[in-house]
Amino acid sequence: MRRVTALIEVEEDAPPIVSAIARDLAACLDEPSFAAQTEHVRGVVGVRSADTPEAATIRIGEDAVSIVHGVADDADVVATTRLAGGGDTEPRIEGSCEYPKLAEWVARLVDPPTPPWPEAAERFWSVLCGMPGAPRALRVVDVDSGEERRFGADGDSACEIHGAPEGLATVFMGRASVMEAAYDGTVLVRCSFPDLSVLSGAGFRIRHGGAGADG
Amino acid sequence: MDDSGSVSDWLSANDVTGVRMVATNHDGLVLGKHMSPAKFLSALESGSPLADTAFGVDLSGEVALGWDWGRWRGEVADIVLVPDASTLIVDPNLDGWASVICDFTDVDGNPLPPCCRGLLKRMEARLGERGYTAAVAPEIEFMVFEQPIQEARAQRYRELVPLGGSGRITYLMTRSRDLSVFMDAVVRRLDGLGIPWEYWSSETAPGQVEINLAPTGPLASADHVARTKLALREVAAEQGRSVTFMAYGIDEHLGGGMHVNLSLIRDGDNAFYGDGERSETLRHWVAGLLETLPGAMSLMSPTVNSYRRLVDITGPPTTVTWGEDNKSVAVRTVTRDPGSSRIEHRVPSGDCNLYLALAAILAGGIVGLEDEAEPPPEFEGMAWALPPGTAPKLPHSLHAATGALAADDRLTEVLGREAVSYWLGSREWEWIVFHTHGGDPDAITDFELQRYFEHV
Repeated sequence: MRRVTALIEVEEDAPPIVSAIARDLAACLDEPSFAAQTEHVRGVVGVRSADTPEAATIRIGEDAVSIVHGVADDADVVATTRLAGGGDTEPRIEGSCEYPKLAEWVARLVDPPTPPWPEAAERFWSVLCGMPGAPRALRVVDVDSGEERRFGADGDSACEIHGAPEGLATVFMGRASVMEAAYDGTVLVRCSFPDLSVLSGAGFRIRHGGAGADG
Repeated sequence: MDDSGSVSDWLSANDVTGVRMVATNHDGLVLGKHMSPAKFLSALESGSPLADTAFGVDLSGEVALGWDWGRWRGEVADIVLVPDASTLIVDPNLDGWASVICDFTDVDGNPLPPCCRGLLKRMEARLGERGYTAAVAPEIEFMVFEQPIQEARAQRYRELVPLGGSGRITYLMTRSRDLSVFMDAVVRRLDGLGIPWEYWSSETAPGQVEINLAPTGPLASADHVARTKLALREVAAEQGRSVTFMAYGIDEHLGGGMHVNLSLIRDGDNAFYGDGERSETLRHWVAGLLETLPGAMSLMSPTVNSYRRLVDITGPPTTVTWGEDNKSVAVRTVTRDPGSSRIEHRVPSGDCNLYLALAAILAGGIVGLEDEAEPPPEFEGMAWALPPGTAPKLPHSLHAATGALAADDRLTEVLGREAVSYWLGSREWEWIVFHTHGGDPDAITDFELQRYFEHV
């Protein structure tokens, strides 16, 4: 196991679902009420993706929360959820009658609040701008309100991403790649095809980490 | 053949009515075009354009992305397939057809960074600058099944019947005749293609065969393997069989490798042997191979499936080790006499792209020569199932191997940063897609079989 924060440890060579849960958990623990809730739950939680074959087990112990791939036989509760986010589908949780606190905890973990898109976009840019081949500037347009944000160099032509607030946040949190979101119409883009590759890669890094990246 | 005029005469003299232009992309996919003789002759002059999607989709045909593609790619831009006329042959089993192996360049004629054949050429040239040439003899392992590929597909590549019976005995000569009928056709076809094979034998898993090709230069050797794999699939199609080069998953216990035997030649002599013993050159070469082995691993074991074969005591190495005549280590040396002195690199998996694997091996050796590196002590005894701390372990997953390459500046410098960058991006994609599209770290899924069975 490899410790990624003071509390969270993941298996070596963690597959994407493990890295993604570790990231979501770390973000949730920044919220005081979730951190307090975590202090009072113990047990084994399975998480299954509703839209991919991925699965993971979270063990909440005294000193650490460990995450490995696959659902363990001794899981107390199992949550099935759309890990890619989007839609209004509530996670389905088995075992909630027997372990209501664990069920409540995992329900919050797998359905974390979505940050405002400008906040997510800023983090997305901070990852993107350090990547080889990154565009020199990024312009984001909220098509509902007309609000815009621009990141990077002034004056340069910018890659553009247009979308509704939720779609923008989904992309900038790495829950869907820019390519997937452009393909299904969640966002519209104005950039080159190679730019689209790097934009998508930024999402992968946010969600899964990069080559040899640690959680 | 050094000019299009003589090639034109050659095409006429051999009654060639079409030419297959083939090239191998980074994923090991054989891509190309069927050309009329006239169009082929024009391609000899200026190449033949194709879309950059040749490097843009993965083994499942999905757009692969997530990294800096480089300036040569655009909005499905043109790249160029450039025939290497020295590889032009008549294909004796395809009436009227010739075949030529190609390189990929950009529209200005510059080698594409991810062109694996171009990369291997560069490594050969760099080795040549130090006065060496390499002789390479690959061992190709594969599985053959009774069912034709159409049935294999319909069965989702499951419950296939190994050709030749179910015995688990290496070298067994009493496998049923259907296996040797298949292999008779294979070796006759290789003869017709001008590919020098030395022997074939049944391997340990049912339906598993190893065929060894004769030593030749690295580029020619990789070309021969690319053609041999194509020939194996074609003979299988003709005989109603199916073959796969997957590294693991068809037999639940045994995987497939692509061991590489390599000698260095200098001034006509085997540089791995001198003064009655293994040479200093061999020590440097082995040291470089071991030093760069973690970083080189993904180039020799390119898929998630490749790593499933790394199981102690089943044959493949699991540690970064070397030793004389020791088949449990990663790099086996054989230095009994000048004639046979060589290294046998036992890490490459059966699903590897040999152009890339050889490029990585040459690059590692070059690092050792240039740095005059000294290897760790020769490993004594069996290098499997070792207690922790006894010997460094090979990266045991594509993710770990990709990380090791990303961290290896020296190997990256020798291979070239653009080539490595493209490769790393494509391996990250492979790893993410495997896990998010249906792969299971703990079981061989339909996704894994469909992705790899026919394409590696």
